[in-house]
Amino acid sequence: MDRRAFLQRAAIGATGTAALAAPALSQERQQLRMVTSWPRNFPGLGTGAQRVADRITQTSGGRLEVKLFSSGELVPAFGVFDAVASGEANMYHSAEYYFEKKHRGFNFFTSVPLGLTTKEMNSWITYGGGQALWDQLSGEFGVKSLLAGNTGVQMGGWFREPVATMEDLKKLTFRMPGLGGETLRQIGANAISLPGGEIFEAVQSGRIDATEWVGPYNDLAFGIQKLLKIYMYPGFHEPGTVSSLGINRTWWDGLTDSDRTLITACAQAENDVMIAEYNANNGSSLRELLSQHEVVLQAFPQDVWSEIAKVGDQVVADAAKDDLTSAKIYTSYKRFRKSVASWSEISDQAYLRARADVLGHV
Amino acid sequence: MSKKIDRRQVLGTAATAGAAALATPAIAQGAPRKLSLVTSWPRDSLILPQSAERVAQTITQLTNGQIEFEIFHSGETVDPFEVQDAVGSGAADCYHSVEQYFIKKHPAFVFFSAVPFGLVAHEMSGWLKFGGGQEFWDELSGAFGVRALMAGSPGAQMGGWFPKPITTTKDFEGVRFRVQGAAGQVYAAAGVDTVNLPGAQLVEALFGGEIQAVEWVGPYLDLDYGFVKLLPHYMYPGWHDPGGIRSFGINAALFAELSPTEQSVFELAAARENTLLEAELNKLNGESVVSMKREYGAQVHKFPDDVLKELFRLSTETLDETAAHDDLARRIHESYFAYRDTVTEYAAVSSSAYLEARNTALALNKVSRYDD
Repeated sequence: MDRRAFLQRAAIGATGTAALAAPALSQERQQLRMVTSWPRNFPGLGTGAQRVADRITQTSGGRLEVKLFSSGELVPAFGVFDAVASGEANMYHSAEYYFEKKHRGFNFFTSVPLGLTTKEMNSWITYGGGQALWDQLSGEFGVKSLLAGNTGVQMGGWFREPVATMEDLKKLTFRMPGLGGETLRQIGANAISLPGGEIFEAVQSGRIDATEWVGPYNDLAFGIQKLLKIYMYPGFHEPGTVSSLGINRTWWDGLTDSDRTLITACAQAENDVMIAEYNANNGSSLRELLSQHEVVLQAFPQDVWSEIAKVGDQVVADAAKDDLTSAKIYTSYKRFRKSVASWSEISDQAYLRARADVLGHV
Repeated sequence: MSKKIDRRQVLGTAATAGAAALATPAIAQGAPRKLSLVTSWPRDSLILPQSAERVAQTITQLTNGQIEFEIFHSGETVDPFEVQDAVGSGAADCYHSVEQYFIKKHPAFVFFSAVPFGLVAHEMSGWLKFGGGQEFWDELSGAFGVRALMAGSPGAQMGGWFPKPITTTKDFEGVRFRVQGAAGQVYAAAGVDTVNLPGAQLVEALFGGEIQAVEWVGPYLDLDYGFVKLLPHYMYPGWHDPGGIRSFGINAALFAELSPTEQSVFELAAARENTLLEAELNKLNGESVVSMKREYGAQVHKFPDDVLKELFRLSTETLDETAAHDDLARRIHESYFAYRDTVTEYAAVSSSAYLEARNTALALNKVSRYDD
């Protein structure tokens, strides 16, 4: 279906509001399609997508009725961007780094190695110039994207044995996608990318030695702890993974100001709710992993981590060399990280560490 | 935080949020309703009045102008500490404030603002939305005729400005410290000479020698006051207010009368602010930490571990007294701290460990390293 046909079909206002007296433009009922990259109600990501869809429907009084299609129902998980760009769907809930083959600049709007935490990312996108750069990049493909959720800092991964040296790391076949995986490859490890659903079997069969997934909440649900007991931290690869709401640009541009505000606000609200859901469940899931599954938490030695970090930071810099758009994004991102890092250190970093100390943790 | 400096006389007229900016034509749903919104922020202060106005504007815009607000900032109709009374009684419709201002009505309101060694903002969101916190808040506020929602957080605060670095609890001796709320109680229990002064009197009190140290908010808002020029030593972390929240309160009977769609719009406008306020101030704080060091020579120091341990012990005692107030306070205290204890280890191995590793590996931590 082409974009024009879809948009005509999506706007069913003519029949839907015919009976109402004096329908203003903003009263036209529209049935909207949201495609996602997640299984239906997958904890955190899928539930988050559903909340965005439901909130748009609810706060518009049913005028903008969003029907959600989970991964595979209308298009495959990674096909959501094309579906929205072409107008086959109005919007997607996904993660921008799934589209890095279209442009590597998309990585910066999900999470990159050594990058920004959730709070820092919210600041950069919303008040630090990030949104304008994102608009420029997505606009080249006919899409408008917004922050619409975050998983928080990802853990370092699951291992059979603790990683004590760089040599330990190089021996591994490690499931890690994206720029994190590229970092491991440059270090000399064998990094491969696998969909989440294949992780358990790949560990069981010995195809991979180590894996990262998301964090305690999602990791526990996958049962990785039954096979691997060493849980390393901190992760270097995704310090605050953004979920995005991508919207067909032509359709977006035709909305009223108040409908654009409504959709933006629903995305911003989910940005708060998803991290809350992850927080509430990560804490209890980590406790369960440690107390009921004999999982051992282990910190990467700082010298090993620093060596990974230097490679990872260079991988990110290299990913920004494709064109001027990438270079602009990278410059803005890097400047923001430098500007906010000292504050992050003396606020959240210092406070959360001190709180763990006084409560007698690790 | 308390009342900020009222630099000008109270303005005579209140602004009507959003109405002029509306692009959407009004639709035939009857006459628009005008609600009053009272805030605890002086009209000409930075950040918070605009945050309250943003919540109001979102509601006005998403109801196509059917709900408009007349906004009265601090002192324009009611005292900043009395906004909840005004909304509970129906004298006003809504407030934007901080719940610790209401602890004289019930001490458990502290759990819905900022708690020493308590939750950071996104953890607070987790407790409220997925840990049972909102149900407790509804029970507590409901007793005063109010329905309250989390509506933004300024993020972490700092530990205050001092004439010399705090290296032991003895360094607090001989220093008259402006600090308020739960932190003030804890410092008083530690034997510190504390005083609560409104923002408008701080600068004069410092010049007049009435106080020798001051805790206010965080880098951006503190820099606006210029404390750094008199007191160069800035202590962290802000253990007493690690991510306190601001709240949007609505008269409970009014909220119940709203349509389900209108109720969801109020909730949306408040939830949106949870992303925006913290994101805005986080950026400004980052820039301010750098400039206060480069331009004003601020020296940033971490409270020593044993000082934090002592303040933690006293905080725990102080909050245990709150729990003894009544059964509701006891239940809220239990739920809040169970959540805090559950997320503490995760926070240490995720956000905190990551920032420490990143900032060390890439030498991004220069501000504090130079001074410690």
